[in-house]
Amino acid sequence: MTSVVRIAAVGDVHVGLDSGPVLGPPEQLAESADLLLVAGDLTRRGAPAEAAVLAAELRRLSVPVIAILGNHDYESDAADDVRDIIEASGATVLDGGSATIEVGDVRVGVAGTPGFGGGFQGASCSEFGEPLMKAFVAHTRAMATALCRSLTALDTDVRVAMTHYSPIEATLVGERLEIYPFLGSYLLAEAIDTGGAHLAVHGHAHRGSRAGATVCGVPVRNVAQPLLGRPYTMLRLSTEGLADGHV
Amino acid sequence: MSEKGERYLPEHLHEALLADERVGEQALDVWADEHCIHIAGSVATADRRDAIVAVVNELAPGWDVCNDVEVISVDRPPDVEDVTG
Repeated sequence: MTSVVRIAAVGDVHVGLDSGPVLGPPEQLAESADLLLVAGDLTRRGAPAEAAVLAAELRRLSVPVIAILGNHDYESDAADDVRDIIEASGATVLDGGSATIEVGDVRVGVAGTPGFGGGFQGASCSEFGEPLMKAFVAHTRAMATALCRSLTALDTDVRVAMTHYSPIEATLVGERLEIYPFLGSYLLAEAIDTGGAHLAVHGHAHRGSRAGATVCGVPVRNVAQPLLGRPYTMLRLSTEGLADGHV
Repeated sequence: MSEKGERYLPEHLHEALLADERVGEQALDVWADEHCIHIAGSVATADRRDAIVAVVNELAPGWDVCNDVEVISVDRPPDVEDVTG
């Protein structure tokens, strides 16, 4: 039987103490979505007080919420506190792991990681040279490895990958080419393809483009709120014809 | 600030606008001409937009500020896309 999973997705809400509601009316989300994905940069500077503002809004939602952290959420060296505060609202915050929810008869698995930078095929950084350079790429590789492992382990009808940094270049078009290595990495795309995701969402690139795909054809959507110009975007994913295996 | 130092002023301001807790925004363009410091991009709230001028005035007194930063609107209704996985 074919079913449609309705995924509301947004990233980069950058909530601060000066923010009002960023997700629109809760009843609108409840009527139109089966789950909400929040793709990092939940806060402006990673302050626990900022996370508390968003948590208060999330607490009013009746749909399951799955989130990851973004680079802004690490700024105040209080990422663990930010994560705890968001999770206390009832949301799940992924850091390389996965979560499964049931939408009617459909089991939806979401694997998420902030990811990191490094660049894309033909123009990427390597684990070579200075320790800092090795650490930079190794950090991305570790996150990609965790994402792939979590996707592969999902025994669900639908598999969604969520990152903050971009897995592909296509959704960065609009950003300056010179900063692509700081906006994402092909290692994330490789994890998404190898792990058998049906859809990938990311944020981080406020001036990027909405849609693209991995080299293996997995749809990728940039859901950064500054790019959307709306509280979230609604991605309807039909279970008809979804591949059930992994690459 | 020396004339040579002023050549790097936009980068210093870009860093300051990201670090300053009143703004905290990375995706801003900063450049200078002989008359003005120009700032463009978008921020989430009007308070952050207004704070940009304060930050620049503190670090670059004497310069005019052309603040073309927009406040991100999320008033449009969510759009819907059918995605084929």
